[in-house]
Amino acid sequence: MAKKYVQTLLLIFSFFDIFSQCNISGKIFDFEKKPIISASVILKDSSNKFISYSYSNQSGEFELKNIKIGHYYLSVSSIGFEYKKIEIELLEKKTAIELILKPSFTELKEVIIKSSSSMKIKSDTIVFNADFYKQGDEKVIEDLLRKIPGLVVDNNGTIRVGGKEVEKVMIEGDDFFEKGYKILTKNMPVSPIQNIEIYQHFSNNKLLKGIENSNKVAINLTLNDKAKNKWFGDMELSGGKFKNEMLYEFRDNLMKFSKKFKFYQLSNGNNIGDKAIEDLNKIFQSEDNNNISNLDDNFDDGELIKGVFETPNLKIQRFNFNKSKLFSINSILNISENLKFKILGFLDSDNNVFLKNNIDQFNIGNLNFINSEDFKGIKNKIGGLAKIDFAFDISSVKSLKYSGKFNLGNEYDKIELLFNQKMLNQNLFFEKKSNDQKFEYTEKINQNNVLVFSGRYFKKNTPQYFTTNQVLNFDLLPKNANNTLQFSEGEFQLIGLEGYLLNKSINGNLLEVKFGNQIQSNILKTQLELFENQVSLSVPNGFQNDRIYNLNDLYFSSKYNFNLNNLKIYLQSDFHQQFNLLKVANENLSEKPFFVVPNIGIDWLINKKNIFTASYSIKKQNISQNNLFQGYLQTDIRSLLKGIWRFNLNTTSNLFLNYKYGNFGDDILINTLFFYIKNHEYVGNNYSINQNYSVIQKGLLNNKDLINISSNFDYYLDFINSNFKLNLGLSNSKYNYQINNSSLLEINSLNTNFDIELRSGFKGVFNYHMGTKWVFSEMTNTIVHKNSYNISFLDFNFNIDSKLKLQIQTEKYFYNNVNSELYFIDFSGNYILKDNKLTLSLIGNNLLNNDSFKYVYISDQYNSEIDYKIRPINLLFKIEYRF
Amino acid sequence: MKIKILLFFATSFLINTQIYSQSNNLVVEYDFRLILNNIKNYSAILIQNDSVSYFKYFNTESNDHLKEKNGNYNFSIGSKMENFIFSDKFQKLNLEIVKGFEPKKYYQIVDSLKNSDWEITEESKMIEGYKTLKALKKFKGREYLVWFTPDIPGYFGPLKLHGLPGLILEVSDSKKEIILIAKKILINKHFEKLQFPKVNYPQIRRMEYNQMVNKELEKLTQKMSSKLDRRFKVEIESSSPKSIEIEDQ
Repeated sequence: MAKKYVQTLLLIFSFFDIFSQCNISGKIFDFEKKPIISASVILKDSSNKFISYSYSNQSGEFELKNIKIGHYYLSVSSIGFEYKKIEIELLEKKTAIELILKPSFTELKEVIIKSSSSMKIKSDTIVFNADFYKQGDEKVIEDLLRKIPGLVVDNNGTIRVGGKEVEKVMIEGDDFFEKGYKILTKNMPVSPIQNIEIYQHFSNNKLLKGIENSNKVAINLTLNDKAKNKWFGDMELSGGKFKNEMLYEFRDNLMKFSKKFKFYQLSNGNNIGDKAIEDLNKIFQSEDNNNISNLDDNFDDGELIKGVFETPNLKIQRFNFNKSKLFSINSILNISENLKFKILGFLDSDNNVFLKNNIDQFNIGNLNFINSEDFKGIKNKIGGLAKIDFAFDISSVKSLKYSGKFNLGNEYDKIELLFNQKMLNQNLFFEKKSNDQKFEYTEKINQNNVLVFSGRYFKKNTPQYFTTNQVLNFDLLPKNANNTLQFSEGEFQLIGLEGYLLNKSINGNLLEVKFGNQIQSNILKTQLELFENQVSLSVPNGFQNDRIYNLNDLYFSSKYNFNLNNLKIYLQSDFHQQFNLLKVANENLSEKPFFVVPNIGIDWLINKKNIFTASYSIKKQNISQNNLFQGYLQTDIRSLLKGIWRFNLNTTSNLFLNYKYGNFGDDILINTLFFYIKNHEYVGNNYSINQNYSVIQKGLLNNKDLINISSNFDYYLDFINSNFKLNLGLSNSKYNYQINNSSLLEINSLNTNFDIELRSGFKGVFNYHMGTKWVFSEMTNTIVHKNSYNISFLDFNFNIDSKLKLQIQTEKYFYNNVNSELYFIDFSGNYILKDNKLTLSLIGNNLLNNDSFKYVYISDQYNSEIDYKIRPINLLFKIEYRF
Repeated sequence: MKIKILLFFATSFLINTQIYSQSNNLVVEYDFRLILNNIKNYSAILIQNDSVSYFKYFNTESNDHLKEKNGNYNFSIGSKMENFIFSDKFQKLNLEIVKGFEPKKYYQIVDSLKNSDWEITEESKMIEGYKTLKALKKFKGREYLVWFTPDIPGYFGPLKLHGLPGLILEVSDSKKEIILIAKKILINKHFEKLQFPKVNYPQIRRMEYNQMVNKELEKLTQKMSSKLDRRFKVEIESSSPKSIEIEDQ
């Protein structure tokens, strides 16, 4: 573009300057002698170095001052004109130049700069600086995440953004626990966190990004420099004594996060009621990938007797009499840029004691009786889980992932039940062994097309041994039997393969096509053996099972998403051809059903503040394998269960509506949710109840309705610097059941809840948080029965100075059928020593020393009064050390 | 191709009667990342001719952005008047329109335009075929580092970074809180009118405005920290939000 052009100059010479500094002034014109405004004038020396520069003014004049004598190049340019460069020999104090520029072609030139810079600006990312939101009293990551605008963390630690649960919480781009993120958020300390990044429209599979319509959200935490590449963590030790019992808790976190190697070790041992992580089996559910949604954990895996004790509606630390231990090591290795290897390992053991007593009164037809029970349950669990993941980027458009999960554990539950003055003992021992292998191959064919091919193999064995020391007159069993042993073996296997194709068109419409085959095989073998004083009596007919259930599902799904600016509509149809088989010794049932599942939905961004979502689908589901068996199964010393022996595709219609108003930070936020589910067919219960035992017979019933409306409302009250929250909910369900050979009875259960919360945002020493929650329930059988309860709380927070903090929490429980109210007071005081490295705390729980929690339920057929034993007052002294 | 600009004003403006003659214009579209209290990603546009420039940054999803339709470049300045800087070389003024916290309340911040103090280094790199040089300047409390190309004469730069003998293609600051990267350059784009508006909003100084923002953000922090779950303990300190211009000079 440069054009060297030598022009005759009009030079006006002036005196020689003793300081050898010159000024260059000049004028720039076009060929019509009109001045060129704002032309750039650059003076460079012979080595092309910038010496001086200026721009011409409204008269086309410019001046460059204080230039040393010498040889220079002067270039002049202006848009619309040809660039000009001249040589100047500066000998004089003042040099004046006149330049004429020729016009260049006035064509529009467009230059697109492709971003090659490492500073990529992502549009779906929101980043929060942790220091800005930290206020000094957060301990674990969950405490900090509660403060971030837009993030909602509920009582269980579930994190949601805009009502949607996050997929994962990553650290420096790597994820350890997927949906089990609570392991991280409830244990990892907060001090090394620098930024909290929220990724919207997140794709678990990065090759799908930009193609799939994803509403998923993920969180990434970045670390500050002090924590990167270094070993850091914390240790906590608490101790206390109550009567003769020593109370203790030990926790530690040890971490190192560098680009190539990430390591996270945690452990927890306590008997103060804390649960470090949730049930190991629940924490690693499959990623909810669109592409293998038919291969996810959406199946009953054949565990018929669950060792679950009924617990009161209180936070777990109040009633969990425990001795728990957990140890976990987790590591991520980035072997190369394309290969990532992750290994997780958990070992946990838990001993729990659970105590309650209850009095139940039954009025069913002609049958009236009262049972009194004194229940003591002891649970011993031990388990281990190992998970191995590989992720290999074959090329920039191909990737391969493998994941293997191995689970081994056993549990021993012992129940001592004093039932109407008779001591009943039952013992449940079971083993869990499972292995789960998955692979996923993704190929991005071009900008708009992606193919994902995935497979899974899952096998689980849960042998269970259930013994009891009484036979409670099951009318079907011999009277002299006084011990039972039930052995049940469930084996569940699943194998599946799926292909998934996505095609995105230019206007944003997305076509998704899935095809696959899934085969499930469930073997159920149960045997009930009766003993009289250790001598085997019989293996009664009708109480044994040996059945195989095979489900073979060949499916094809197509979904089309229309993208019309603010309105998104999707239409989906799933086609299924199944080959199902139920087999016992001399009987086979088989069917080959073909059915279609339609689904339609819209997503309407009315404007920035208003969003409306709706969807409607008609789903069909086979009867669960947990209900498919012929013989009786003993689920409890006083309960028997009998299944169904038939196939059926249960149809449900589902309507879902959601309306959101406002963004977090606005004065008003409203979120309203409505859904209606109608089960055209469902598996219902036929109860046979007498004083000593009950039998539940599963059967196919018609028409179960569920309506649920809930609404959340947030409003900031300026004049008292406080935030007001209101939650309203209504849930109504209507269904049928039978009891003691009655005709089909209808029950309508209506629950409404109403809670208000007010929280202050004062600066300074004092803050409060108060709230009250009312729940009303109305059950209609033959008569309407109302039960209600109220939970209120009032918390105070004092920040006395930067080192000393005090919190007091009070709660009140009121049940309308219980005469007295129950109050709880807890407090905690912290003192920070040594620059945040050492913290001393004094913690007191249940200061009023309540020892039981009472609950009363009243209806026309059944009254129950339950007294749960809860943990008494305890006082703990805690030291925490951070490094 | 004749291009028209339509300027829509939500409130009444007196349009400056001085109309500069049709001249050749330079348009640059930037990606702008601002990390003050949180990360915000904007699109920015700088339009200049030989005497005035117009710099605006906006949320990419907002409706106030530059739309090109049938060869016409339309942009509307609707009710969102914030993030808007006009500069006039010959009146030596920068005019920034900022939004107050009450609805429909705007202020104008006027400061003088100085050609100043760029240190042009010898370091250079190529950006899409243009040779760029690195230049440094201390401005309004920040240390800026820019890459500009003398091949394209553009006196005006983004964020009041004027005066270099060439168009600025990349901007960053020493604290890594400001990043601008040019994405598209249009040279010789014809507009009929690019005017320096005369506005009726009350004038306010930058420091006064920052204090006002400070107070409002304190209130907002109080609001946000009170919208939290009960299991969480709060301590509120006064927050001092950051702005692009830290000092008055």
